Amino acid sequence: MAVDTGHRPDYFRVWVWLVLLVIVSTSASLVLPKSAALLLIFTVALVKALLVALNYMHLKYEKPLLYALAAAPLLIVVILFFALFPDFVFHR
Amino acid sequence: MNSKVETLIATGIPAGKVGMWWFLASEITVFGGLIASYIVVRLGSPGWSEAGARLNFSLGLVNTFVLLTSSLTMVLAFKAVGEKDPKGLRTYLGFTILLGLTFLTIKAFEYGGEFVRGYTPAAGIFWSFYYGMTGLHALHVFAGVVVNAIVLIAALGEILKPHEHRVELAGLYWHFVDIVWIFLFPLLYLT
Repeated sequence: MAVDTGHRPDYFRVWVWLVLLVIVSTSASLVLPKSAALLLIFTVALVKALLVALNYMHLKYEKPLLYALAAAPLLIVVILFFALFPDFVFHR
Repeated sequence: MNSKVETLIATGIPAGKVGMWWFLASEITVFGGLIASYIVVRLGSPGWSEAGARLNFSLGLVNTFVLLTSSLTMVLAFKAVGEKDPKGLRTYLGFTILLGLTFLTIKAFEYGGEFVRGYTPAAGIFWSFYYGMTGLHALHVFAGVVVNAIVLIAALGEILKPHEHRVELAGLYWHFVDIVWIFLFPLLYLT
């Protein structure tokens, strides 16, 4: 079977965005107050991850099954986080 | 193996792609579990920013650009398959391997500098997490380099033709490794 490369985003443009976002988060860590910097840095990291997953891994052209495969373990990680959170953060 | 490995499952998605996503799902729980534990432990104890400030930020930043660029070359290799451009495929795969090796070389250099200054995995909980997470990630980069090298050798020997979908599967793995670094870099170097 032939490889389906029918859907092609502008890969170079996505790379430029990724590089710009690295510069944004790096600058934020140097310039902004800590809490604002943290918020921006992790928002930017999430956006970068989505850019790679949607465009380079072509998730935006895939069927829901693959979204479910990617989302299920993320849900498990979130559950793990909130299960561990009270024990470590509030137990002094 | 023959091209039958690319059989469609009932959903119309190639079996190889579903298999790769299953594998990546298991990897998400591995790295996600590590990252979640790191965040929770870090929130529960002070002094982590000071330890993080001792990392070589410049090398971490250079490695970030190296890995992002390798994702671009990897996806361009996939694009070359669709355009029936074997030379482009070999070139971009070659660049991806080189960038992966560059990442590993810089990481090894960085580890060396940290060890010399006494920041070993036994130097504290931050350093245990740092070496655990970046070490596991580096192993994944190494595995990706090996897989890409196998695909490149097949492309050079003109035996890749019936199995060109493997470029996409290798690419999915490589981009996943890039995404992991997208989170590791700010967690360790920027905060």
